[in-house]
Amino acid sequence: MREFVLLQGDEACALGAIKAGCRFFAGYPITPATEIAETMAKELPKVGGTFIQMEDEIASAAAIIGASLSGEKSMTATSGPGFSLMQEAIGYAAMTETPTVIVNVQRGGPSTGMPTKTAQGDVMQARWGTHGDHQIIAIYPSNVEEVYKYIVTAFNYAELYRTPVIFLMDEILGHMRESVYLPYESEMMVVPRTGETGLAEDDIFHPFEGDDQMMATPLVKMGKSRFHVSGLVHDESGFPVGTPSDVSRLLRRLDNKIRLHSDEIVIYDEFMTEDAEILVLAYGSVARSAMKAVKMAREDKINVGLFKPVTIWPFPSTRLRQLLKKVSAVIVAEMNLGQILFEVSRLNKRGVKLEHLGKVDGELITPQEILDSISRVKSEIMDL
Amino acid sequence: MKKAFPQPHTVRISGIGGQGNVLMGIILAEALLDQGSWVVQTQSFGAQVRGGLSYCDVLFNTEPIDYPRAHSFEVIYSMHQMAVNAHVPLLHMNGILIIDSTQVKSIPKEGARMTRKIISKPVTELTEGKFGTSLPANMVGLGLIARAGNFVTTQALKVAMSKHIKAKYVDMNSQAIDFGYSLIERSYNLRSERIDSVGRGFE
Repeated sequence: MREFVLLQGDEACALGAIKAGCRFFAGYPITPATEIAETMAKELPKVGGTFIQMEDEIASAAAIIGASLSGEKSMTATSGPGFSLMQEAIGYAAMTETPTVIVNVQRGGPSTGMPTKTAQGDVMQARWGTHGDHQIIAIYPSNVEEVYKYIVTAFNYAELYRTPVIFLMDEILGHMRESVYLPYESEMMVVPRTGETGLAEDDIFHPFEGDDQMMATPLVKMGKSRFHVSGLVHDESGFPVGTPSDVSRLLRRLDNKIRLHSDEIVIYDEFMTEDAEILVLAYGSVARSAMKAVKMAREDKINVGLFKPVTIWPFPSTRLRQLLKKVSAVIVAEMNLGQILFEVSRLNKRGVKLEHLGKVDGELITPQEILDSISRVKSEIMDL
Repeated sequence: MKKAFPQPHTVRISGIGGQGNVLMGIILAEALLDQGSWVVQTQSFGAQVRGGLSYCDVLFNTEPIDYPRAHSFEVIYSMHQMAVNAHVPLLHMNGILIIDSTQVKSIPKEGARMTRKIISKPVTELTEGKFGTSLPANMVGLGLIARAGNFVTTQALKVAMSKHIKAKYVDMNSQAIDFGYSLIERSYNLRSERIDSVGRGFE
């Protein structure tokens, strides 16, 4: 029998991270992410891990990069204000190809905003918050069971693609407790940190050399090699270089290693999309309201389906393009003023009717609000 | 055309920050899970730790719950005048309203219009009288909910409570749950399945 337990979203995030092999957590408390740090402080020492409360979020993000480079899987957790402070270090992790996981339990913003209220205002910041051209992976689950499952995926992607992975949550998801069937140990695939470079003793380890698939060299554990790390543009050994061809080669590889593999990375869920004429696109906790709204609308014989991106970045463009060819209208429901709407409109070459349901009052979008939107769109389509 | 749509059962525990209403909700949710229900527990509070309106909702159902919030409640347990004023309008028709009359001096008019199932006990005062401290008043409240609502057993509540409370206080809190259960005679049953109708007029 699978274990049936009551778990808070934040707790599930911490416990799942430990299952994924995380052994180092550095962070600074912030509502609504504090419970992740609390759980880590309690649980990490039991498995030989290290928890440090840092002086701020800048130091937290720097510490997890250091820990990862020295061989341990690492994570930090914060909310909007802290996530803003971490952006410089996220860029450093992207440039130095350091696998690590940054959790952002979103609350109302900008600035200190609404600490105890929910929002989804950081999805574009997750993509473009740090400067310079770079790819990023951002995963956004929508219930506690998914938090537990996908935080493991986040760690796996960090190792496989040697990149910082942003794990997005929101206040509802972080603070909510929910009944969860824990997955079997055997169902949880964990990508381990490799112990060997595969090189002879005198060979030089080139940690920044991509293979012909543009994949990064796996990072190794402590004591297995020594190499130079720099946020400056560098060659495969890690030392700074400046010739135009070297610069271009590095930046294109950093881009390609994720972009060319985005079909393997993207995760999404669909519900009743086969015959849908109206598509509701929602993610995070809003996807739960959307799921209920779709079920209610189906009771009323409206052909509506749900598309839920789990990887927000890379965005599941290929599948959404296919769906955009079949449906007459798309409703994007999100707790911001149109961030993923922008991404959808970019893909909407055919000019399918696009409706935005954006809510920024700190409350979760209700199924009724989505249902009202579906009804309105349905009557507009019928008028055409 | 009206359609039937099953809804989860809903309980709201409300008061001001510091009274322990979130802990009540966590223990209630854990007890319900122990009895085999799918549960969701959410809470709302402001930036301050003590004082300020705060509430905790528990939803439970025989199947997984999509939408984690609720907008009307079958059971409301309220520990502060501010909370009663704010939440009585959200009581389900014929729902159960339980109040701590040490803290609540008047029930808004809507209360009597919506239900006759109003249980009013000076919980804080009675708890102080019995235990010499008002600290376990929230557990007395859980006992009251168990008796009035008849959907959770005191045994399940005690098991859940013992996971969240320091060992040396388990005994007192366990007695507090029993004490709450003994305060009233009358039990009501929640409807076995809650159906809300939806209808948008499209065929």
